[in-house]
Amino acid sequence: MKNARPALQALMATRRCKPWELVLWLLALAAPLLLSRHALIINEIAIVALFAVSLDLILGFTGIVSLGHAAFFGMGAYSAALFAKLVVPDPLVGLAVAMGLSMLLGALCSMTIIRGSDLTRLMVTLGVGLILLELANKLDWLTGGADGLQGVVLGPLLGRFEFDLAGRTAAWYSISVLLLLFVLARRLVNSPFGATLKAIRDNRLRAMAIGIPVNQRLVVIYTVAAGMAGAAGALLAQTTGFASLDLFEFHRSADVMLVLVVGGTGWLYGGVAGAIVFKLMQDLISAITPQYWTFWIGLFLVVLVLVGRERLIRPWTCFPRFFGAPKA
Amino acid sequence: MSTAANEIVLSAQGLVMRFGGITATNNVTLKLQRGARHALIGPNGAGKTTLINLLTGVLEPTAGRITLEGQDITALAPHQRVRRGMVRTFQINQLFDSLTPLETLALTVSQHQGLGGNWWPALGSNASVNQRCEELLEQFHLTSVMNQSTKVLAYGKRRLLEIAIALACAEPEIPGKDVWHVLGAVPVQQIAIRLPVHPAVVKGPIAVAHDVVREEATLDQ
Repeated sequence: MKNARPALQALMATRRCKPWELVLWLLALAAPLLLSRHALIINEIAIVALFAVSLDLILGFTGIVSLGHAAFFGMGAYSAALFAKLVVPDPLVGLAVAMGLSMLLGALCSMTIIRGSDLTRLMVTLGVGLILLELANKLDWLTGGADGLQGVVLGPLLGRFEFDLAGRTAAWYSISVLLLLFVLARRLVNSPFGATLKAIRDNRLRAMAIGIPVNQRLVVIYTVAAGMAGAAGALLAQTTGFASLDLFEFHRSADVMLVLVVGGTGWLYGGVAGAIVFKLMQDLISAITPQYWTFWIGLFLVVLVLVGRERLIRPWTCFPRFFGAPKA
Repeated sequence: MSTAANEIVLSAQGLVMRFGGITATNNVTLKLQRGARHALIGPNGAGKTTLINLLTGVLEPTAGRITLEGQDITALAPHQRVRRGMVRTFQINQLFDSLTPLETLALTVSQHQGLGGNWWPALGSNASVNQRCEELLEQFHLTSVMNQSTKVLAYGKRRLLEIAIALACAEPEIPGKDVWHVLGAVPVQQIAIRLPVHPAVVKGPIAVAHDVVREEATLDQ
């Protein structure tokens, strides 16, 4: 076929690594060194970004609305903290165990989201999150209950790099894990598997009618996303040496949804961009007005939604008359 | 006629579908031969779409059995029926609005070739999938819009894509022209039975329409 090339190129174009992506990741990896005083916030941004990317897999690519994603975040955090405290203090083994347990929980909970509409899923995921919160609260012999799980001491990373107080090792650790899982997620969403997820998101009826096993796909992606959220939770517990009930709280699930709203769904970098903007804003505004920072974040979100992300980034497009008509 | 042509491909016995107090299909029994074409005609609300939904597994019948190529498929999920060769189009286009026609066909062909679960290689990395997409795009005059978002396409293109998706679920050896002229001529909904071995495949569609004239025109072709 003479036009076999354009189709191939069009399909491959989206998954080719672009130069700005390389620059972004190199900058990210250099950040703990360049901005060593801000290593702690960099670590936090990387963790929130990973959490948001995991939510994007189910919300942006598969269309599963979840208000209980913190369930897996908390599960990963508590698993990692308990594993370090009771079994082995090695961070990487702890991370793997935490991801495994979160995926197990995700696979179990996926049974609750394969049926129903957006609203029922919203309620069910919310419910699962609340159940886990209460479990962590009541099982205080294991989790420390409302006091949180203290005294988590981690060994050096790869047996060599100690976690320092400035948080530089922590930041590199989190960014490396984020990068690794991000690359996996990027392969996944650009594969035939990822395409079938988008098909389910766009039209579940037709997805079934072309032979996609919809329920199986939902179970798999929900489990994968749970594992990634668990990894994010594990990173937080390991780098702060602490796990508390706050990890399971509703506001975690809501915040990560806000991060995606800021950055955009269905585009993996949305989670990363959203995490950077959201965390920096939270940090800056709460430094200026510690009492009213949520007001300003709220105002920003309202403006973002009313004006639109595209026009907020390119304000000149609001006035096409003065700056030349838009293409269409 | 050869014995293959007389073979019953799809049959239904005593299909009943009740929605609460309404009986949409009442005791439908049908036998469809391989290679035959049938028309299902009736006014609005007669239960034509319900019957198609029952046959393809979107709805579960209140009573009755459905047999495809000698095997009972009554309990099978829709996607499992597709794997056995029963593909449909929809009266109201059911497309993937945020994807392009190229992506839509690539994912459908990938799924049909059993690659839908692959998560590592990229969607465009399989040569035979790309080749098939090319053919379908060409056949359905969609090459010029293959990279546009489906939601911005004109109705005609959307309808063509609707049929192209259904054909993408069938064997590529099917002599395309025979097939899609029949399917494409009917702006309504059809069901196509694929023979896994015989290439004379989609010769046995049920065409569904509201009026007889259009149906006769279709069946004559």
